[in-house]
Amino acid sequence: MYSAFKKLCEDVLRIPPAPQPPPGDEAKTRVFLAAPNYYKYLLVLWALKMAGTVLIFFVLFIAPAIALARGAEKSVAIFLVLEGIAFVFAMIGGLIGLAMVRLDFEKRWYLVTDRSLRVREGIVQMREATVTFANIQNISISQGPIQRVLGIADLRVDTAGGGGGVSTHGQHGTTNMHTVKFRGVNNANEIKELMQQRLRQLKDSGLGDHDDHHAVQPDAVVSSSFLAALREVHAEAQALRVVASRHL
Amino acid sequence: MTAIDEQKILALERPHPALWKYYIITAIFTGPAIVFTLPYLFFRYHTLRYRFDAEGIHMRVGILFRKEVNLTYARIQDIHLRSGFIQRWLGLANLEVQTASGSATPELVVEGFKEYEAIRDFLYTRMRGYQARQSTSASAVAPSVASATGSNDEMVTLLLGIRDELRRTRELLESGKSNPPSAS
Repeated sequence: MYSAFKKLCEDVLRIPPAPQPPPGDEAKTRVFLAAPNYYKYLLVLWALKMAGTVLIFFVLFIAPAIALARGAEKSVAIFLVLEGIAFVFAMIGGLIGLAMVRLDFEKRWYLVTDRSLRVREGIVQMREATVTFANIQNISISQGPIQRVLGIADLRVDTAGGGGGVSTHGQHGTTNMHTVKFRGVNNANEIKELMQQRLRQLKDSGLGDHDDHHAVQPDAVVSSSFLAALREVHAEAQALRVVASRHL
Repeated sequence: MTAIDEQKILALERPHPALWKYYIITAIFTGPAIVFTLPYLFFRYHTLRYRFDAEGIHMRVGILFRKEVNLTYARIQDIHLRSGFIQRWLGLANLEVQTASGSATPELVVEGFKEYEAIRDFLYTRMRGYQARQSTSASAVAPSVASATGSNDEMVTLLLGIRDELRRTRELLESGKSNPPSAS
């Protein structure tokens, strides 16, 4: 059932296969995927949404049903029938949503190469972000209570430039163009360490001032031969003064 | 990325005709507003011009309200490839290019090219941070160390020269003292 739906979506929505890493050192490229628990997390969110929908329908059912039992007009019965049809559609929509949740979980890739990262997500609206490490300003990890129970976290990478969120037609509401999110990974720390380790090898990461790398140089390079020569000059000058004072 | 691909991208100017199809479909989705959106998209498609050169990307669009965006490769921060399923049907995608400016919307969108993957690789190999490692470790650090040791050597020889000068002055004074001075 699900595999047929998946096949249909792949064909109709033209979902491309796994993303290619950006050109560079292929051996160092590592591919991360969302943790299996992220699927559970999405299921929990889906179940909460469905429970909310059912609750709303139930509340809307009760009052007219009581009124009808007490002998209300026919229009109330028509309202109830319409509401029943709407409920069936909502449930079908919910089932499609469930399949989409699974597809969304399967169709996400997080690539970390030697000098950049690439994140692909989305089914209907596909988004593939590429950011070089040199442009990363900060990396943050966030975790909600449900995520903590499931042992997953969101890793967020920011680049320079702000601005509010842009509303897109994707499933995740607003997204900021200057952030890249590794959603639902169970090894957020490992990914962070890997990125930081590769970041450290780059001297011009972020938008900082690069001058201070050169400012520390002069003090350190005074060699011993320079100092010895300086001492000799000093001794020689002293001797000269002694001789000159004796002479005059 | 081969040289032929690069030549192809440098020669790109007008978007692919599939973009016009995509614009028609999006205009239909706007409903009654198609009266306004379709002419706007028609002129947009026909005036959209891109130019990729040695320094950066240049985009020009519009008839009444003209817009021109120039962006150097070295300032590119993120490249986003975004495509809706209608675009994927037509083999298109949007390449959204971001710089560090404060806007949340992309500074430049490269749309309507079927070779978007090649363009993305082309931009990636020129963007900020791609060549960073080679430039910092090999070419920037090594010469600064070399010049520092060079100036150090020069200073040592200079000081030794001063020492020799002083020593000769002293010897001269001493020799002047050993021969009795004629007048003082």
